[in-house]
Amino acid sequence: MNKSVRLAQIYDIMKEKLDNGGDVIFNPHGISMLPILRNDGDRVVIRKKDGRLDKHDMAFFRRDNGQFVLHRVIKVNSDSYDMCGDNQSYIEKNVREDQIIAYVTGIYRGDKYISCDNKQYLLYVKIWTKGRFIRKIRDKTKGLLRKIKQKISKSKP
Amino acid sequence: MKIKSGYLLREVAGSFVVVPVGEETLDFSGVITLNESGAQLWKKLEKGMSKDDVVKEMLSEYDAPEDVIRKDVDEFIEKLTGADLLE
Repeated sequence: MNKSVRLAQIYDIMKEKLDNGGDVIFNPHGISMLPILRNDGDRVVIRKKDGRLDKHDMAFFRRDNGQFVLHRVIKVNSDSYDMCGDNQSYIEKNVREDQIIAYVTGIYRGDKYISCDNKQYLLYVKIWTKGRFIRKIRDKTKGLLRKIKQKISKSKP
Repeated sequence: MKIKSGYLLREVAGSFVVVPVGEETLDFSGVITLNESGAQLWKKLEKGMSKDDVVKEMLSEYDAPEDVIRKDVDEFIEKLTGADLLE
């Protein structure tokens, strides 16, 4: 028996439940949604939304290369969305409506449930999404340091 | 001996997935994958078959000695018991 299952393996079952109006819970992986989603056991509850997503919704969508992504809507366009992870500065533009699978309605951290309607959560979103420029500086500094390190290691005899 | 209710066994791309199913919620955080023989064992236990009957049926389905099959069945039941999946 094995507990590790790839999302691609269970996507059909997941979609069936969502299409019938049910909720699905799973463990997201990765660090792009830190600090709100930790990679050590946090679970998200997702549901299909009637109508379009709203700005700041956490969207679960699928890229054209098949990759599943859980990022935040930072802009609602006329027929698409711009997305960005809470721990990222890069904006993924024009994610189409047909790529959207569901949105996050709540998070389980251990036994604690955090609803996405929770006032503290909404305050976090408001503050955190405004800090993208800080993450942009962080990412650019990291890139610059990497380049300097590469130059130094190349110049060594 | 029987598998507890509220679990769904589904074949997905050649492997078998056991998912806890609530009325409104599908919880993949407790998902278990099984190979083909594990899935066969699961189906038999789901019907409420006794351990001896499971071994007997597995003997007729698989070309393996009884002691090997009995050991595998014991291990499988032990794992299910550990995961609190048996009544």
